[in-house]
Amino acid sequence: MKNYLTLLQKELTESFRNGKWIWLPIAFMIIGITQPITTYYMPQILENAGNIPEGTVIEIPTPSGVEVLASTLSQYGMIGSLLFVLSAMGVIDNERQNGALTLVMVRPVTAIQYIASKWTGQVLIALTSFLLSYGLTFYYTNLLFEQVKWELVITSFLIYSLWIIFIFSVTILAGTFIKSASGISAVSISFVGGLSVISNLFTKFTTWSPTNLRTHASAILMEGKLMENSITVIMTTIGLSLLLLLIATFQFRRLEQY
Amino acid sequence: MLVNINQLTKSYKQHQAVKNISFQIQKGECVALLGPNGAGKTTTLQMLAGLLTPTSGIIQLTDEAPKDFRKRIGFLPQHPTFFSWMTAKEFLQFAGKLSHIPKSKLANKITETLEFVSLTHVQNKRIGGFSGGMKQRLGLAQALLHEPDLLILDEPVSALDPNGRRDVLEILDMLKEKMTILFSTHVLHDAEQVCDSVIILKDGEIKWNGSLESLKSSHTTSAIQIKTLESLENVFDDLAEVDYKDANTVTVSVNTTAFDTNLLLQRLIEKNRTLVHFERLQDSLEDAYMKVMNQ
Amino acid sequence: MTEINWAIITPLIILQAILIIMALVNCIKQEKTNGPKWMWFLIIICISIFGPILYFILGQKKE
Repeated sequence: MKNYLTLLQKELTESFRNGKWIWLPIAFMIIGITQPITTYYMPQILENAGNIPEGTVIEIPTPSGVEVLASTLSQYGMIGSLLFVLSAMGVIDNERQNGALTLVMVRPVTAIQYIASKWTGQVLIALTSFLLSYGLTFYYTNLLFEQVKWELVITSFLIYSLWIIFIFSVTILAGTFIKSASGISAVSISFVGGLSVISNLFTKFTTWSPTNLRTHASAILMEGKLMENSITVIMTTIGLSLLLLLIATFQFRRLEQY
Repeated sequence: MLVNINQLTKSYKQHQAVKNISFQIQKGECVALLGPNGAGKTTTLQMLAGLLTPTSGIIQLTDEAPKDFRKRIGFLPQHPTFFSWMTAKEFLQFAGKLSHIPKSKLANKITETLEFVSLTHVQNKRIGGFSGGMKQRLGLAQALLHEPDLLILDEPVSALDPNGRRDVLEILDMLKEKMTILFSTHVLHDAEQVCDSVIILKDGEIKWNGSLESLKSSHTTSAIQIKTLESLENVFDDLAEVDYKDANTVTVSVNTTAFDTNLLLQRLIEKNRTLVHFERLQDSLEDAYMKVMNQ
Repeated sequence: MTEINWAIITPLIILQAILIIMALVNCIKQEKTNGPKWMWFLIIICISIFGPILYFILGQKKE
């Protein structure tokens, strides 16, 4: 436990020094608040676009607050997942490649302490980024559109956080199998993407799939209550994430040479 | 006995890097693992440090059953890599905590160790800007910090310039008073400078294990070179094996130390030869090493 | 055309400015980057939002 905290502290400090604690939250805040702002100014943007015949009256229904928040969540879905994978792809691989891992593993450090510290370190930054971004977007939505119930926002935040946790578990696992940062990100993205595609094609058989978390998170905003199956999805995501981390630990221990 | 290695083997797909080696290290000893590149030195040391899993064989530290003995070992890899964003002091704090040095002792221990490897003046500088010699000394510092029973150093001086080399060798000289040291090198001279015992490794096998002194004496075939004004033909042939350089110069091989060299002189007087040169030729350590290698 | 409400837009601009400045400062302080420094300078300044992010992901050299 003590070693885990030492390693975690090192992860967090490292992310401060290389700027990850700044750029990831800011990037997410920009992605987040761009959504309510562009939606708000959409009529003007279209008006200035130019190639609309004069005199055309553009009628765009003003979206509701929850709709704006839900569309923000879908914005995170693509660029967000990509950013998360890219930000975490090298965390194990770099230390293995350059040899810094040697000086860690000559000390009484276990595989599980090492893997857990990497995972927690990255998840903490990601969830902080998401919290700041989503919170700021919530504030903007209240300002420009209408009040959204904060309970709904928090519930959708928690559900979506599980999705982020799942992404990091996949990336960390890939990092123990593959010896190149680009390979790790390619495999992680294909895995997550592939799972999404399969879940969309065979909806009936994949109600458990973690990719559905995104739908569940938007649904809670729109409907105001949890969709059916949400408990199944939540449980399988937690279970799968733990399983992935466990495999990562075994795989890391199986590495012949640190 | 501190370390007991029994039939240690490491095989990869194509070849065996270490073949069934066994040796022991006594407490307080300083042992050099000597051999050419590719002899299996690094592989052996990494297995001892717990970084590499042996294919078979047993590594024991004192009398304990094989378990996690990493906290009792200090290891310096051939090219130590640190987290370049940390300062020297921060890295030692990180390493010390991972080795479970009590908080109350850690700060003092770090100051002391940095002093010992003369890095106090750069303790708050980022490791990223360190020279090779400084990194090597910081590597030594992290290996020493937790006062391990056994210090394992992989080629600690081979990548250094003459100054850095001298610094590290001096540090090792001081350390061997306090600790058991096992270090690898491909330079015989370095082994000779620091240690009294060597384990010579070639192609994954132990070729020699013992003190440098005994290596020298057991492989030495001393000979005596004699030169006279007159011809030396048939003067010594009945006493020993004689190698003629020319008619007036011979090398007489005397394989045993028991051989009485006065016999030769006596014979010269008997045969009325005028002595010009009489020299005892002895194999250097280098020659002995080469002989072991070529066995 | 309605007035643009600067109170709404300003935070977005500030965030972008922080991101660019952070990336530039980090790039200058770095001893070596992956690829030439001037190239990263151009990327950070010219490509909004994604330029700095690209630098942070790919530009920092991990020794």
